[in-house]
Amino acid sequence: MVSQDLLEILRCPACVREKDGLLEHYKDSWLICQDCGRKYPIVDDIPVMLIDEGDKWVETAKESLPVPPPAK
Amino acid sequence: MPNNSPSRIPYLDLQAAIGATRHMGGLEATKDLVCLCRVGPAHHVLDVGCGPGTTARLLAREVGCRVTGVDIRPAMIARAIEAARSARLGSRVAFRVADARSLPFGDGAFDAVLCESVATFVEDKPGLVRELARVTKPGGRIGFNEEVWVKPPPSDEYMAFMRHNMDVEPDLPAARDWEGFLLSAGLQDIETRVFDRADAGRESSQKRRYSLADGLRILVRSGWLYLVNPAFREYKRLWKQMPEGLFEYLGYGIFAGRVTVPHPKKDLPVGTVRSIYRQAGWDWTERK
Repeated sequence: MVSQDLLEILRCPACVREKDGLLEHYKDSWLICQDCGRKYPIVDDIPVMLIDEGDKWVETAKESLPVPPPAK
Repeated sequence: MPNNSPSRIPYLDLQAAIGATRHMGGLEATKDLVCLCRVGPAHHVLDVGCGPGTTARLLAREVGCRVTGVDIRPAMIARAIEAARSARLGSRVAFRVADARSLPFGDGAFDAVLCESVATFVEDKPGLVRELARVTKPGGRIGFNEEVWVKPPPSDEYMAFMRHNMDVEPDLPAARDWEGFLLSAGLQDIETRVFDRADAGRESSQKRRYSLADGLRILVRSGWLYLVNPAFREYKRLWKQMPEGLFEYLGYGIFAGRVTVPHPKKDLPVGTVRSIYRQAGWDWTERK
């Protein structure tokens, strides 16, 4: 479980410089950017906030995201 | 070009496998950095390129502040979380996998930002400084501890060693270049300390960054890697070819500055930087 106040400061690394890059915390397993739709997995309680990682899931509908996300 | 031959592990992967990182000046340099960044107990600090979280734990324990650490290597972050758990630091430290060049935080999220021997491995250093300044609150400070040549190395051998064994582009910026990077990111009150490695006390403080238990774990992991991994043995062999007296030439600088508002989104125009140099009475050499 990733604590809420620590999630509060997280933003999408691809969007934060131009827009808000606010993230939706989805099923305790994903962080979904409200601007670009990149999806960042939370693997073993560790949010993986790499743009490349977010890119991998950008086309996947949020309902189809694996829970828990695949481990590397 | 870095040495990518399959027989050798990239330097930073090697550090992740062992679970230890190094920066010049060890614990003493970390203390200097914390002082120059005026880190206090009420602060939330970002440690960029935190490795296994050694500095983050130290800050949480000794200063009592909150620390978030980011590292691009998931293996490092996993170790950092594990170590913070054993140290019972609770919610005072948190770790994320992130790229220092595009941080997953909003503007002004932190009171201070530290970066120990990370920028050396990043090509666009001015861009990195800007990104760190972006996530710092106005009035907060950012500080770097990075390798610099304190004397020009006498031959190409030294440069080649850095390139092939540490995956560092050895054309390191000088201390004055660093001041320029900080200035052009809109920082003020820039403070610089340059050290060579002559002070043995500072250098031996490298080990004091780790607890006895950490030290033993690192020793066991290194021993195990030496036994099972030929690439690790190859690394050890190459390391022994370090040119004589490398550390007479290679030292480090601690650079800190105060973030002012507003932070520039782009580089300052070259003319503005030239004018800052002129007003400061510094030499201006045209760069590519």
